[in-house]
Amino acid sequence: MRVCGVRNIRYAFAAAGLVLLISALILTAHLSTNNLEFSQYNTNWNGTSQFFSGLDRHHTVMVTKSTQLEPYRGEALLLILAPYRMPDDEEITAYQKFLDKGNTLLLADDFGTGSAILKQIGSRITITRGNLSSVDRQYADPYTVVVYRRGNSTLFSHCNTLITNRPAAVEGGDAVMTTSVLSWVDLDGDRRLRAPEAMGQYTVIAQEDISRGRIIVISDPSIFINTMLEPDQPGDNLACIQDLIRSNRTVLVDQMNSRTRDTEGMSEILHLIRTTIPVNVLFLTLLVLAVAVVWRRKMV
Amino acid sequence: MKSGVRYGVLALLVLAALAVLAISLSGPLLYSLDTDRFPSQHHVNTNALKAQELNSTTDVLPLMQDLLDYSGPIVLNIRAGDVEGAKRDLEAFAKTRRSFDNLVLKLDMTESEIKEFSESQKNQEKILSELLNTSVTLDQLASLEIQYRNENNPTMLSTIRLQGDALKTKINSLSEQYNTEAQTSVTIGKETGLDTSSGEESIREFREYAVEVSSTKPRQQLEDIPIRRSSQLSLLIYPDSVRYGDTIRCFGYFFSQYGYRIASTPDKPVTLYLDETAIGKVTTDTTGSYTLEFPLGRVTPGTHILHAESGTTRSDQRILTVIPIDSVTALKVTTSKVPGNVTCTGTVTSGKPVRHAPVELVLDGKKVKMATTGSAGEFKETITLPAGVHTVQARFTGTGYPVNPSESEVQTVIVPPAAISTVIYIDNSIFVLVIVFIVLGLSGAGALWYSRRAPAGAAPPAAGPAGTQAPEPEEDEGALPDLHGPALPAGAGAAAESALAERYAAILTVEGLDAACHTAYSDLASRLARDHRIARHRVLTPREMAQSCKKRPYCSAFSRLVSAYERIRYGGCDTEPIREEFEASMERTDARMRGEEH
Repeated sequence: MRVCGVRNIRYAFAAAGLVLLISALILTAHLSTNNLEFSQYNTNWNGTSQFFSGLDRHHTVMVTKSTQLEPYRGEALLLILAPYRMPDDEEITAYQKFLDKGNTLLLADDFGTGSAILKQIGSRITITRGNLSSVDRQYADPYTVVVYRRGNSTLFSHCNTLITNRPAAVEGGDAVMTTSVLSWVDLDGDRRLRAPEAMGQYTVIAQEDISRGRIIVISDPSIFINTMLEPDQPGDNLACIQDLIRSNRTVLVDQMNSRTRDTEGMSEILHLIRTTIPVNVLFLTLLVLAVAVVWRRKMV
Repeated sequence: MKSGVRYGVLALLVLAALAVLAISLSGPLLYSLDTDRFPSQHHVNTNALKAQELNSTTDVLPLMQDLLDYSGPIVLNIRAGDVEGAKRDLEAFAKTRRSFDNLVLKLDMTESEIKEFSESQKNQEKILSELLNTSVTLDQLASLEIQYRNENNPTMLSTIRLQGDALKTKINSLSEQYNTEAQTSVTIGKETGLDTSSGEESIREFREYAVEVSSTKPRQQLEDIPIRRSSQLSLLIYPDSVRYGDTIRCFGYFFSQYGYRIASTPDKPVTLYLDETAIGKVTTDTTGSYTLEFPLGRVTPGTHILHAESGTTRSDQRILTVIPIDSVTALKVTTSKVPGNVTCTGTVTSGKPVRHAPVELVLDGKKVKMATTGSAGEFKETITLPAGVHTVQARFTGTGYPVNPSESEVQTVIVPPAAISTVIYIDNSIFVLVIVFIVLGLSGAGALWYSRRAPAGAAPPAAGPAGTQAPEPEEDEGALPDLHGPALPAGAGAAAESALAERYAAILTVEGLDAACHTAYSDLASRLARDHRIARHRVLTPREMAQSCKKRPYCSAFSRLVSAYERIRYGGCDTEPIREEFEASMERTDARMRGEEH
């Protein structure tokens, strides 16, 4: 009878442990994500987790320091997605040198610091403020503008129709993808055309050759968010993104100025521990100390 | 913690986890569409939009019909002189055109047709608006002509006639433009099966109105009533075509008639007028001549009349043509120490500085402040911005100046937000690295101190009564077994000191040399460990114990004891010399240890 009771207790312990373990795993998964715009740790519709998980780790480098750009010559692609701050002089110089070596810089931004960065780099392309709207749209919102291929670009060879999500308009450079003529820049944000807004064809993707390199500007970073990369999404959005990241070239993803690196809460803590070497060392040291204490207590 | 409490906590945690799962059973989605509606300026959730349907396309044609129907009455009203009616119709036309542009429908018409129709309507609105304004101005000129004719003012009459001729030319030009644009709309309308008669009517009306206006005969000229003048004032200007900032030189003579003789008149005040506005005064010199130079400032482009007066004497009129020129507006934005404050400095030039001109400062597409240029064309103004990325631009409208409007390049200003939720990468920060290493150093030092500290539970056991077995220290789980047997209590008194020799002798008699020397070694090793604060000394070999002994007078004796101990214990030597050597070193060590303790 006693043996049977002990066995029951063991089973109860095992079941309780399993429940707690699963709860802990779910909680960790829940807390390790966030809902920050464009964050690569955000698995919601407005994050870029899907894009980042699709990157080929053998050809992808996360750039956290401008010096990481130095070794690349000719075939590398640097992605600056949704920049939120103005790069410092050192970073700007690194971008310029990166272009001088014949590489390609792709900047995707609508209402961030993209225009200012382009100007600093020496590009003539500018991103105009105001939501680009169109009659030629995908959903019941004039901001979901459909854009079409107008020019040639090796990076968008399979991209003929692209569904955008609140894009801005690009001025300057050679147009690669543009809206139809039934489009306007909604300056006052009322989703309606009012003076001085005017209908016309607007550029959403443009490119420009600078020095030996090339700058490609996409005035809608939202094409990289999870909701735009769903398999049932119409248009060639998935093909466009795969054109970018599935080539043999090295893809560098800027993590110095991009919103894609944003984290908060538990996600931030996990990210810090995982990616920051000093914190890593500190964490390991604390673990060693904890083990030492436990060992000491056992010894005594 | 008691096991009952432990079980209680565990059960509570499990129940809590199960309760949370039960609550979310009805809606197991962690991230549902309802909870994922984050307002964003960057994008919208397309999953939410998928539920909505696009509208149909049938509303386009009625709107196009309205546009075609509106243009006719506008021209008719203008022709009939009903300005108010024309204004109302033009307003309705503009509203309908915007409605057309506002359509958010997918259209069956080709893109080029829609584009063409849309642009044509836009141009028609512009042309009709200009026609309305021109027509109104023409009517006003007609009224003014009557007034100046009654006043017998030839200067203003000339001005009005010049302006009237320009307006008639403009109406003819507008008629031609309108013909082209309206014809485009009519053609597209016909192709889509719309009734275009109203549009065609408007083209015909416009053309007839233009012909009507052009054929208006000038009214009878003023009668040239000879004025008997006793004095005369001449005026010459150079150059007669000028641009902003150019200097105009005006000169002439004042002379009077004395009988049949004409003589110059010195010291006569002369006032120069530009379009009846006095622009300068001068006095004739001894020869009766005068010269006045002035730079062209804020004067509208076009034709102007210059004349001079001195008392009741008036010179002939001279026509001055002012030619507009392009301008350049420059802007530089600098941040100040006050958060959010930026200083906008810049210049407006047209080859020469544009002086005392208003400059609009446009923030994010909206006019926020007016600045005024100084004598060098420079301006400076401070504006306060909220956090975020902003665009600032300076605009010179050119109103009233013979200078075309211009605007500066758009400057982007980034005002840092109060807080940005983002990971702080601390790899590059030397300061943080220093802090990390300090923390690491402190942790290491703490760990070292902690590990070297004598454990509270490792204190040597209290001495028992002489000849008795000392109590065994409590063994922890996993600790190595004591290879040296029980240790004697470290002596705090003479009894303990004498006990070692006695116990050695007793064990030697009963169990032999091996067991006796092990007992003696264990006792002395325990005392050494306490003296040197060596934790877990029982896991150390005798040689390691001997090596651990430092800077004590008994160390050399203890080393010799260990040497003999190893030969007896591990070498199996049970000879008399070895025993004597061990006993001698044991007594020496014991004595020196006691001496050390005392």
